[in-house]
Amino acid sequence: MAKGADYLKPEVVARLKGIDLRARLVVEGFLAGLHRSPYKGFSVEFCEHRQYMPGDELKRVDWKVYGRTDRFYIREYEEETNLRAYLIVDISGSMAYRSGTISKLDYAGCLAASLAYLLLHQKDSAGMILFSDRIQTYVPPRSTPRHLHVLLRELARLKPGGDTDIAKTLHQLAERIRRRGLVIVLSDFWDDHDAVLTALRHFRHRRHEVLAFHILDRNELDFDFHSPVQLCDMETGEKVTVDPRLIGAEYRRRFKETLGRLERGCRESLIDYHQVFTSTPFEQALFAYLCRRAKLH
Amino acid sequence: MRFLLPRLLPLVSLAAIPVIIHILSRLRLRRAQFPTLRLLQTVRRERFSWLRLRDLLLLLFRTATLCALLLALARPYCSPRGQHSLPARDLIILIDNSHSMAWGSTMERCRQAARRLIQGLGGGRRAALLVSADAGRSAGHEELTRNRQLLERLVDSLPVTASGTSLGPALQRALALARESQAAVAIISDCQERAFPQDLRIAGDIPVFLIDVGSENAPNATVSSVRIEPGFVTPSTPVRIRATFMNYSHQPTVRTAALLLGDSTESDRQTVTIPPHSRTDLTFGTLLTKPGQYAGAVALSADSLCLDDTFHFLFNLPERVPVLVLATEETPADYILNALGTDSLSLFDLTTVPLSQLSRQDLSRYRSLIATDASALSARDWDRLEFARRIGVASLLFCSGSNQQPGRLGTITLAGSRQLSGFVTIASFDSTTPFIGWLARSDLTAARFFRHAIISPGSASVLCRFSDNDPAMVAAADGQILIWAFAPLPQHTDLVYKAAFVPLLHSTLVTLTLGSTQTHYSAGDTVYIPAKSFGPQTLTTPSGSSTLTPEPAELPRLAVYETRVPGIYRFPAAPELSFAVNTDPAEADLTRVQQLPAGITRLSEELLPVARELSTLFLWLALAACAVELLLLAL
Repeated sequence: MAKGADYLKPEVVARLKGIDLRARLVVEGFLAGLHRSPYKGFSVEFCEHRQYMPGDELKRVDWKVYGRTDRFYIREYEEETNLRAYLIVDISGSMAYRSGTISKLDYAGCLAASLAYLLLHQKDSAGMILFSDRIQTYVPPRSTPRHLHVLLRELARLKPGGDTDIAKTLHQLAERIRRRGLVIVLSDFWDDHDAVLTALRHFRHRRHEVLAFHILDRNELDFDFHSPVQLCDMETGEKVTVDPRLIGAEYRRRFKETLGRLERGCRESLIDYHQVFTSTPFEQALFAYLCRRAKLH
Repeated sequence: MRFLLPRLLPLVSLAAIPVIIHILSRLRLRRAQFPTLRLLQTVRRERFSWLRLRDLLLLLFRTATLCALLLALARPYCSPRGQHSLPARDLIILIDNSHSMAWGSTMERCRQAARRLIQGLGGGRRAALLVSADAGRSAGHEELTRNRQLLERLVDSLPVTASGTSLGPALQRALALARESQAAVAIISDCQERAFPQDLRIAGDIPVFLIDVGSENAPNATVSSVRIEPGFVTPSTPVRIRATFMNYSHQPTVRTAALLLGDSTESDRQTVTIPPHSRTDLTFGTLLTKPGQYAGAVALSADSLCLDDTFHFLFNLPERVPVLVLATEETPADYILNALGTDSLSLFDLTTVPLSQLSRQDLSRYRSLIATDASALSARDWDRLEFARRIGVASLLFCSGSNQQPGRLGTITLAGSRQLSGFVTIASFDSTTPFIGWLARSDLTAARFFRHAIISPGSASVLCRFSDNDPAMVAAADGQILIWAFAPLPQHTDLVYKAAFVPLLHSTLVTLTLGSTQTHYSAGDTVYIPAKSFGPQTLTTPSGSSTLTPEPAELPRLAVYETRVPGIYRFPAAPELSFAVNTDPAEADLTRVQQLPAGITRLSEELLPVARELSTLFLWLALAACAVELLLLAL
């Protein structure tokens, strides 16, 4: 795709208008937004009662409770704040793979653009980090509407290449991003999954909410080759001849086992893990995800 | 290892197809990109060594399967050497296919032994095939060849003939071939004693082996001869048929003998018991009373050698025979006329004229002539007798020796007579002579001769001699002229008074005029028959019909070469020329040779190298390789 605007299709935008992307976990923000804040104060949404202590404002006393109990209790409210979201997009060589009409990178770009739009539309901040074996591009999160163009422009410049070192990059980002926010990782996670999981948990350790979109091409899972073939690694350029009839079944088994392990690990760490295949239209995958997320919320 | 179908061996090159496919598949390998090979490498590394080995094993077993299948098509075989292995030379195989080989399964064992010899050839060795019977029309293959299929086909189609065994000529031919090509000779025979000529000499450098396929103590009985009785006939004398049977086994045998006349109509059947190693005669009850030709067979109930259980016969019982009797005053023909009979019941229609009128007689009107005194014949008369012989008129010449002029017929010289002070007798005679042989010896030796002519026989056959060693009876011109060195007068011999004189004179004349009343030959003989004209004659035999043309000779004669099949051989246009063919009765004696001629090594058939065809083994190998391949694919 030549232009960043191509990643954000009008029909997708139209559908996104009625949808919120809310942080499931408490995040910190500096504006009043959609997301729960760890800070309690005056707000519109009642949170809980606590016993009156000398010095509390009398206007916060819940007189109905006093009428019932002859005791003084203060009403506490949740403070909504805005969200800082970080779209971390893998642009390593393996993301350029395609067996159908769209590559994994283009797919990730569409997802990132749509998510960026959604976040900015609901007045959240969105930033973007592009990485391969190191951080290639860092766009700090902003909440202005113009920021969308900045992000789309970066997406337009996407050039896949290089090796992958997801774990190291995520660890670096986890150290860099101080305030709690929403971390959305868009990658094929072709790395040591245990290391990747550890890196993702590093974000969780930092109290971030993590969304992991595992973008896969169907052929990576099915390994749909029927005769001996020479395969070329898109990241290292290494070539190897394989007979799929001999190792295909084992490969598929191993790959499914790895995916399962990653999914379980993410779930255990409260990381929202979602597998998407490039053969599924991205908007379908995105909306399905958002709707499911909305129900859970 | 050798191959029965080596022409198919080039197909084995097709076993390279899997290798070629393997190489081509690697050259035309599809190329594709893949995100990352991390996981693939891991999986591949773990299975790499096994996969590589599996690939190689699959290629190996596929090639092996194809190779084994294609080799099986070429019918491989191996021929291990026997204990007494034949030398590594070309081989001349001589097969005894005489009729004794038909006993039991002898011929089949012979064929098996021949096949094993052929299959055991190797290293480019050649073989030739000779047979003992039908030497003139060989059923074998005298040229050395490597074509084993051809030789095996010839062996399989080799018939047992009705001929007798005589390995001599065929063995000489085999030795000559072996000498030319430095080959060895292998004889396959039932080792019949009569088969091996005693004077056989084998050069030391020619290995000769005898593969013995005969059986010890092979019992056999046969019909050895059939004749009519009495031995001479007259129109009024009924005859019976008498058969002689021979048992060559150690046990007595009881058989049923049947007389078949005409078109196999059984006219008599009797049971006969034949003691071991003995001869037994049996006279059938059927009477033959009318003149004519009688053809048939005597059949003995079958044993393991069936060919000699049937004896075909053909008898000619004649009508009256015109005979010219030439007499002189000194030597009248009275005793002859009395002996032969002049009435209508006599077989002979006698015409008596003076001997001096020989030249005036139309000799073609007579079947034979009798001269009472050949000493009185002039040189011109002798020429006339020679002419008579040429036109088929036989002569019986008595000879008194009284004429002082020596007579001469060919090499025979009449040189006077011998007046004896006493008498002489017949001291020796050739019992094979038809008109003498049936007589009891005492009948002839009892006669006394007081005077006899002196005959120098020259190259003529002496049929019997006086006790003073002078010839008594001489046969010349193939037995068409008989000269008896005495006159038919009492003062010359008392034979004219003996009971033997009449049958002797009868059988002599019958033999002269009609040949034998029974005509048969042995299978394989070449039969020469005087023909009445030079025109072609149709001959019908047990195996079909043919047309014979008399051979260009002084007198026309028919030569019948094809007498392999026993039975009746008829000339429909000239029935009197017909004859019967039988197996040689002596062939029925299956006595085995004890001492082989020097230079022949006896080899038991069990010790022959056995060729083993390996096609089945190769098919199993191909199946096993295919099974391993399928197992590897499943892993």
